[in-house]
Amino acid sequence: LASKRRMIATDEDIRKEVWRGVIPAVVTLSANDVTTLQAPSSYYILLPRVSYLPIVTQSVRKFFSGSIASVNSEMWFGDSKGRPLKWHLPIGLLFDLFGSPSDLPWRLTVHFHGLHETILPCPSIDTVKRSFLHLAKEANYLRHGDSAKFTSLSVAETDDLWDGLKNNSYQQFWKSNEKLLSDKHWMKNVPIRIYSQNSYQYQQELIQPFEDDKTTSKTLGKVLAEVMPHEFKDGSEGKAMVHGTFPSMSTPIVWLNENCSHPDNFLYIVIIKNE
Amino acid sequence: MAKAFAEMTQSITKDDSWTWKQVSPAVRSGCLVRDTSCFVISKPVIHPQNPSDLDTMEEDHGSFRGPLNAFHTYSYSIAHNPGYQLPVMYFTASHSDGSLLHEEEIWKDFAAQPSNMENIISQCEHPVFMRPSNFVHPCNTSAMLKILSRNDAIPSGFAPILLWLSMISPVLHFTLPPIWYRHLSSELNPSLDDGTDSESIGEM
Repeated sequence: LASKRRMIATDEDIRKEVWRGVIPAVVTLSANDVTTLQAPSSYYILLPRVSYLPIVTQSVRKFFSGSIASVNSEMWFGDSKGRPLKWHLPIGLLFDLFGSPSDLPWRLTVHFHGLHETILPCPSIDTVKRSFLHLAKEANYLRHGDSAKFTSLSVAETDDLWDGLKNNSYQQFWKSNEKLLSDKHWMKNVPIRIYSQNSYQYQQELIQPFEDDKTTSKTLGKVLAEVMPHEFKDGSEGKAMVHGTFPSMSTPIVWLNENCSHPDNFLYIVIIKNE
Repeated sequence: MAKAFAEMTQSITKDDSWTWKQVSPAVRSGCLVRDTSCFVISKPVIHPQNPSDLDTMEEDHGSFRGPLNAFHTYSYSIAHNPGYQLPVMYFTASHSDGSLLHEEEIWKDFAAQPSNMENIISQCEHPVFMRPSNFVHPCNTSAMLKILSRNDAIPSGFAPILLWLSMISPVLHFTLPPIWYRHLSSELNPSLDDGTDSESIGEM
């Protein structure tokens, strides 16, 4: 996502690259859930960065169904350090927070009982749909200053957002998502959530996206310096990760939100502190 | 202002008080927590084995067909939502064994059709406690609050928070203590000594 590549690639190319990102993972059944004499083997899976764990892990439940007590119990995941993975965050964000690109496949443990107390209950796929649409609604409230643009989507268009995500269909998703962008790339506030590695805490501020001339988008670097002056004042060396890569600090923030957000329309940034 | 509200409730309505809880020194890592929980009897689920059983069950008004401990516990907190820049009412709802209610079970605790509650109450992560919670959608109140804030006659004291609580009271399982309204009245009409003049509230 360096600015050099942006001159060659179109916005559509970038959006497709964001959409297609995957994390190779290997899932092991938690020892507490094994009911068979021999523990089952581990399960390898490619996890789409832009999706959510409950959507793409039904095959995990199927794979381990012969080894667990109850096939209908609530499934949840932890990483190799025993940290619970909150399904309501996009998979790519979870990996950027807790995984490491030098340590693949991402090692996960699956549990079928004792839902961790910090994980939201997820009794059905509709729970994920509602969570996703609420975030999209909030993100668009921030962008446009009111909910009108989002609530004026027809039921079919809203369903396309969700079904496109659920069925991993870029075309179906972006057909509707395009309608949530304003014609002239105007935004009232940029929907951004800023995280730091190894933590679920995040920062969300009201961020005006334009310079004083009201037409030039602020850069990523400028926004970070405003929101986190300690880490990003001149000369300091925090790094900002988006979808596992480091965009140039001169990237316009409006462009970054329009093309590199997660499907919920929030731009998620993970700060990597230099040791 | 939230802390002042908490202090007011602690001195005026000790059995319905709120406390400010600060989780960390960081900005916006605090919220108002209602000190007492409220309990909602869950509607018993009746599964007659055959149609004639239903007749006998209807006659039996006295007995409670559900499990004896079928009540839900609701605990409330108010936190600032950075997206909507508004106060938002959050709550946890649990079964008597401590397990959390699902969204659809929570909707059933209201008189309305459960499906109508979908745009009013939803599950979320609590922004301060970072744990499972539920919230009352702020969109419905933001328009009203905008109108109120444009009215210069509203002083900056507790009036906004009390008015906001009144607006969302239909979806709360606790009622607002009447004595708060006396307090609200005296804030809006500082010239009155006892603050019980209901006509002046009508002028508003």
